[in-house]
This record gives sequence, C-alpha cells and structure tokens, in this order.
Amino acid sequence: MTTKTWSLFWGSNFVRAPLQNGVGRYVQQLQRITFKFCKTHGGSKGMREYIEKELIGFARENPGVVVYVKPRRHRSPCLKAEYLNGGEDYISTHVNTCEDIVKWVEYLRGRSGYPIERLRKYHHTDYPSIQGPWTPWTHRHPSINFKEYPCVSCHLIIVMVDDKLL
Amino acid sequence: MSTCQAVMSGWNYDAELYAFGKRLQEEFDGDALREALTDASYITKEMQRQQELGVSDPGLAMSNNKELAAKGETLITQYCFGYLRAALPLLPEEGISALVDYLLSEDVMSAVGYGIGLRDLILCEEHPPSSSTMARCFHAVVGALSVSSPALQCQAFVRDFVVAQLVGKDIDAIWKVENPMGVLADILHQSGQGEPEPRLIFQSGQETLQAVYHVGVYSDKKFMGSGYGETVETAVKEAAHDVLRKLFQITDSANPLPFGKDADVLPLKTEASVSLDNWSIDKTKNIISC
Repeated sequence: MTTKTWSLFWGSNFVRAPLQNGVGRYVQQLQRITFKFCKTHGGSKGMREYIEKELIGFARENPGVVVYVKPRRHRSPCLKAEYLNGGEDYISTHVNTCEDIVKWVEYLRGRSGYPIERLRKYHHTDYPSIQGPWTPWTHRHPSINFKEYPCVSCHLIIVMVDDKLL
Repeated sequence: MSTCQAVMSGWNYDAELYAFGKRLQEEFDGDALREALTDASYITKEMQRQQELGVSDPGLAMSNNKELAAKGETLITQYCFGYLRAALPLLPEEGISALVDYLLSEDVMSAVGYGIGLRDLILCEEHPPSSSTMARCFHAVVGALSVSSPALQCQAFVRDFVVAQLVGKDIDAIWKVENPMGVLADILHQSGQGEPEPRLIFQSGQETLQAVYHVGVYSDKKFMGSGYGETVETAVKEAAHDVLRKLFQITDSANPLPFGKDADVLPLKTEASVSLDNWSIDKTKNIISC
C-alpha cells in the first residue's frame, strides 16, 4: 500500500496526548478490559491459561483498570479494551498462547486510545518558532546594522541588497 | 439501582469507582465520591420510577452533588487565581480573571470531566451527560476530593487537571485587549514615559493583495516592539499588542507555566495583581518572575 492510499483511508496526525496527559501527572488511559473466552473450547486454551496464571498479577499491578472476565460458550476468545477518551479496541485471541496474550494485553495497556494513524512527525510543539513567523525582512543583510540614519542612499542600498538576496 | 452507563452495560459500579480513584492517583472517600457523581435529575427520575412501580415509600437516601459542586467550584477558582497570579506576576488582574473564566468555562470543565472518565460514572437522567452536568459533576469531584484529602493534594489535583489545560494555549488569544494602543499609551503615561509612536519600518507589495507592513512602536526614541499587518492599521495594532506581550511577559518565548516540583514550591498569591488601569513599568520593576 502506498503512503497516499494509506493516508486516504487511515489519515495522519501529529503526536498528541489526551487532556495534556503527563504535563501534571500521568493517567493511564486504559479504563477497562474484558477477557471473553469459552470454558471448554480448545481455541480458548491460551486465554484460560492466562486467566489462571497472569490475570491476578495484571489486576494488582494496574489498579486503575477494571478487569472483567466473560465466559461465553463455544465462541472464540477476544480482548476488548476501552479507553478514557472513548476509544475502543478489540483483539481476537483465537488459538493464541498465554505468552501471546500477555503481549497483547501489554499492547492494550500502554495505548492512548486514539486510533492507529500514520504520524507525520515523531515530535510536536505548540510553538514552532519563538522568534515569530517569517517575513520578507527576516534574514536581511547584516551590513544594514552599521548604517547611519537618516541616510540618503539607504533606500538604494536596501534595494540592492534585496536584489542580491532574492 | 444505578442506571448510569457503567451499570447499563453490565459493569460493576463499585469496581469502576475504585479504579477511578486509583487511576487519578487519589484517595477518595467512597460516600463523598458517590454523592459527587449523583446528579439531582437522577434522584427525581428514580423517585418517579419507583412510584410508578407502586413503591409508596422509595427509600432513596441519596443526596445530589449540588453542595459538593459549589465547594469544588470555589476551590478551583481560589487555586487558579492564586496559582496564575504567582506564575504570571506581571499579567494585570483583568488578564488573570479572563484566564480563570476560561478555565472555569463549561467547555473546559466538561472536557476535563470527560477526559478523566466521568462520562460512564455519572448518575443522571440523560446519556451521554450534557456538558453542564459534566462540568457540575467535575466541580463536585474536586469538592469530594477536598473532603477526603488534605488541601495540598486537592490543589495538586486542580493544577494537574485544570490549570494544565492552559498549556499550549495562547494567553493573548484568551484575554483579548480591545484597544492595545490606548492601553499602551495609558501604561506609558503612568510610567512617566513619552507617548507611544508607531513608525513604519518596512513595507512591501503596496496596492497588491499581498501587501505587508512592518511597524515598530517607539517611546522616547526607544524601540518597544514591532508587528506586521496587511494594512498599516492592523500592523500598528499588532505592534502595540507585541509591546504589551513583552511588558506582561506572555510572549511565546516566555517561561512555561510551572508544574510538578516547581509548582509545589510556588507560593500562592492571595492579593490581587496590579489592575490594568494602575499598571506601570515602575510598579512592576521589583517583581522577580521565576
């Protein structure tokens, strides 16, 4: 897929943080996560193993995330994550192993909740220039600094300097 | 009993409330938080529903968040005033009030409430909660925090979630000075300096669509600031704005607002800053901005 096609469908954006997150304090954006699985089906084996081994530890380490476990008979397992900014994410974990699910949960835990987009730049500033915007007179020849004003031939010199620069 | 979004979708309200406090790294008093999240419209609706079902005496021992909201709003106002006066010592009182009004506006308050996840937790009649309900509820959450935690922690909460909304905003755009040249003339007069004198520094492309003028403002032949515009009038206005920005130290290159450790040691100022009518360069000379 070319960049153009990608941008057409998925858009692009700058690096951003919801609600100035991290300026004052960091707030984990993952609000709740639901583990859906089947108690008997083979496709949910990894998920059942995760729930037995890892889930309590995850919940203990992340008290800000509400964890729900939802058994559903004979349906494939998945993860549903909801974020503070209203974003949602769904990951199918059919026939995934416990280790895979650990990684997927880690992926969901660290996200901001914004959709995955192409980043135009890996940095962002609200003040692109503290010197002000460019104007036609921004980078003038330094010789002007030494002129004695008022001067008769000044206008002529400035025009000449401009010609040289432009 | 609860019919907020969290419960309607089958969530556990107690667990959600616990996680809410933990997520914000705050210790909330459970009852106070519940009260803060209960809107008056919810209690009315619930009473009505129970009476329709034939319950003669609905045992709804709930109180709405009006009191806590009033308390929270006072707290936010007080802290924002104290913080901004200390952080922007040269900004006149009018500017400080404009910034506080902006922070306390319904838009900002409801955006903060939405951003910390109140949307699913509020008990109210409509869903999603309207922005006024959301703003009131956020005030009430701050009120509930003041009940449950020491004052310093409550202030840190207000700073991290409310004042932080000013980061990246142009103060000059929030507080608009209508007549910058007149204001500048007053200030210079108060300071015993000469009248501001706008002078054309450069011009280009006159009588074309892309005309641009560069105007500098001088007082007693001293350069004070400059601005650009597509006409001379706008350029003069911009230049006067530029001088005011420099005097009030709210330029783009000014120091950022203090947060974290810097803000912890910032002494809050209770007395009002100098108002615009009395603002002079001499008066603010001894103020050290850190």
